[in-house]
Formats: sequence, C-alpha cells, structure tokens
Amino acid sequence: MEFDDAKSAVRSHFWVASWPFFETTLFLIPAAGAVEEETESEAATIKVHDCDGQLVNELVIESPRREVGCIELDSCLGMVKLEGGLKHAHLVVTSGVGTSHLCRINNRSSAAMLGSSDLFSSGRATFFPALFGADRTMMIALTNHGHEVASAKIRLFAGSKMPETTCVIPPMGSRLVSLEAEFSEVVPSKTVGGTQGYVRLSTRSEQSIGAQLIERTQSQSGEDVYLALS
Amino acid sequence: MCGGLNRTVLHFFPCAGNVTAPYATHCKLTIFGSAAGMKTAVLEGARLSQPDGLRLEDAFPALRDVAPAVVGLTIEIGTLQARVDLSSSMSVIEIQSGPYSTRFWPALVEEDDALAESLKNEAAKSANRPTSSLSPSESITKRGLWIKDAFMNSSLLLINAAETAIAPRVVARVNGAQPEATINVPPVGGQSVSEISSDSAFPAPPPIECSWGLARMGSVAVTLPPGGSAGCYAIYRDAGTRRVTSVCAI
Repeated sequence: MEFDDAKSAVRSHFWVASWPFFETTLFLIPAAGAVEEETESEAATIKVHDCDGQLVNELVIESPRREVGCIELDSCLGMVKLEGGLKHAHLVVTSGVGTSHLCRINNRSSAAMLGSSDLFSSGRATFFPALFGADRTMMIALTNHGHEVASAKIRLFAGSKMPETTCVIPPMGSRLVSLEAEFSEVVPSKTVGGTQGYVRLSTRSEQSIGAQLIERTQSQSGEDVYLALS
Repeated sequence: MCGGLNRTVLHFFPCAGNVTAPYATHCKLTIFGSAAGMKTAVLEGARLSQPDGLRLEDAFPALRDVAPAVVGLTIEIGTLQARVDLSSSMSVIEIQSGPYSTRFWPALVEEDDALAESLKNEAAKSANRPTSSLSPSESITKRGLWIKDAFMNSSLLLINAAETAIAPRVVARVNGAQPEATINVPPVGGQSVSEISSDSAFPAPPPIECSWGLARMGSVAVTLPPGGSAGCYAIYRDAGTRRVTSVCAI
C-alpha cells in the first residue's frame, strides 16, 4: 500500500487473475472514524493493466462511506490477454485517506485472502519462503509499478545452492514465475512433506516492483487449493 | 498456533537496504500466552541478506506438549554492527496444518518515536505490512474486513505484549442499513492473546448476493492504546473445516 501525499489518497497494487484457475474479488474497506452523514459516499478508482502493461479497463466505484465495497473482478478482466496460460493483470486501486484494500481469490471449493503486492526496489529487497514438494506448486507474481522496463533478480536459497534467474517486466505489466520451472535443476526432487527453501527478490530499478507468492496444493478430495501471502 | 495438528514456522530475512555484506545477525524470539507462559530464545548464526527460518517448537520445545492454542510472538532482528540499519528486515509467519500452509506478514512494532519514524519512512511506506501504531505515544484506530459466507468465517485476534492489561475498543460496521455496533470485548490481560469470533459477537447484517452465493460482510474498527505493544489480526477460517486459510494484520 502506498500513500499519495499530494492527493491524500491511498493506493494499492495487486496481482489479480481470472480464468482458468480462480476468480478474484476486491474489497474496499472504509476509513475508521465517525460518519457525518449517512448519504456520504466514497469513490475508488480501479485501473486494470494487462500483463504487457496496457491499460485495458478503468472504472470508478462509488460506495456508501461506511460500507465495505465488494467488486468481483472477473467482468473487469475481460480484455486481459493470456500469459502463461492464465489471464492475469496488474490492478491499481486508489481511494481516500484512511481506506484500505484487500483481495480474495476463490475457486469452486476454497478461498484465501490475497494481500497487496510486497514492494522492492534498488534500496530494498524482499523474500518469500518456498516449500517444494510433490503435492504443491509455488509461483511468484511480479508487477511493475513504474513506467520503465524493470528487471527483477530472483535468487533461490535451497540447501547449499543459490541459483539466480532474471525476469523482465514491461512498464505497469505483470509476469508469473514458476519456481519449479525456473529452478528445475536445483529444486529438490519432489517428496511428500516438502523441502524448505527461500526466494530473495532484488532489482537495480529505482521504481518499485511488486511481488506476491501464490501456492497451489490439493485438498483431500483432489481439488486445487490456492493460497497467497496476506 | 501450536499444539494438535498445527505447527508454526518462523521465516525471517535480515535486510539492511543496499548493504549486502554477510554480517552476523541474531533473532530474538519471545512467546507469551496462557499456553506457553513467557519465554525468550535468541537465535545466533543468521547472516545479513540471507533468509532463514525454523519451527517455533524447535526454539521452544515446551510448545510440543501443549494443548492446541494461540500464542503471541515477538520477533526482534538485530546485529552487533552499529552502522547497519535493519529497519527493512522482515519476517513471515507460516501456520502448517496438515498439507496446508497459511503464511502472513506480522505487524511491525515501534518502541519509540525515533524507530517509529524510521519504520514509517522505510517499511510502512514501501511494504505491505501495517504497523501496530504509527506513533507509540498515540492510540490508533485501524479497520479490517470481516466476512461470513460459504467459504470463510472471520474472527478478530487481539495481542497484548505489555505486562499490564489493555482495554481495546472494537466497533463493527456492517453493510446494509444498520448502525454501527460496539462489541463488548473484555480487557486483554498482560502478555496474552484473545480471539473474538464474529459468529458470537458481531451483528448479523443482511446478506449480499454474490456469484458464489450469499455473503455477509462489514468492517471492524479496533482502537488500541498507545505504546506500540498491542496488535490485532483478522483471522479467516474455512467455513467447513475451520482451518485457518488467511491471517491479515490490521
């Protein structure tokens, strides 16, 4: 979440996805504090950038100031192109002071909260824990928050090995990185129970890049369960 | 969470901005709560810019024998290098329940105004994690999402790391034409954790029809006392299995 001091607004960046794996819902949480009039409303601006950074949709949502806004994003992602077999996008949400934003991903059987992307730039790295196993898949979703091409370095810490790969993200675009695919030669052979590793993300870019960890595992009934960092 | 089928894993990343030399760092853990009592452990051997982690019960073996419970945890990352600023360090808490893992960023705590300003400039503005108090000398009200539908139920977790009890104020606003309701929350004792379920304490708003079914939702505002030693989290549990699916620091 960022604070736009010039406009006294709150801005959040999310990686969001739709078909075919899960759907995403956006929640707009009102500011704390007394409501002067029940008819007051709060406006939020939502911009959808496809994986290549093109602005494909922009909308303004008005909701009563004291109520939670709930927007199912599937209809907003109609123009988003497929990348890596998945419809995904970079979502930018801006609303008034004191408000906050949260997303939730769900498929037919389960749901999990999806927090806004964690930010890293030239002065600050970030990290995620990664659990490798036969029953799960780990993915990193990257969003470029600037108007220049950005390059993210992804280093895996797995035992004594520390391989690194690079991902280039278009301005305002998004990319999805499968850790098993990128580090197939290093990721421990899949065993039940899993092997713990870590991913460190860094960049030389001055502008911020967002990162989110998405995990896919399976329920006892065999259905996919998606989890994210919140 | 500890006991029963739940295991907690702590992952931490000592980070000092552009400084990447592998200076030695340490991680001080303090757990508290009725199940654990108050215990402290210091982990040595960590390195700057190198992520690491461990199971909480490896640091505190007594947790292996307790009944299923929620405990509070304070994490401090430090170094003997005086010129190294670790304010951009971070940690992730993972709750393992069978084959499932729930991971979340814990809230940042400021112990004094100088550290609060540093964190506000470094971590609070550039990261996703809310701080427990923007200024330790002021109380602060924060708002989180509560939801009840076919997928999940919500609860509120209040954590008090101070030695004395606190009396937080919790107000729920629900969607629909209903006034806000003050939730009767008993004081949270010193160094303890209290969970408030939305089923029992929160008002029942009219449901909203969504593509996945009916959903009830609203926001909950929590006012914490000054001092920076209290925090609150929204817990989201699977509606059928009660398994924790998400945790969000408010």
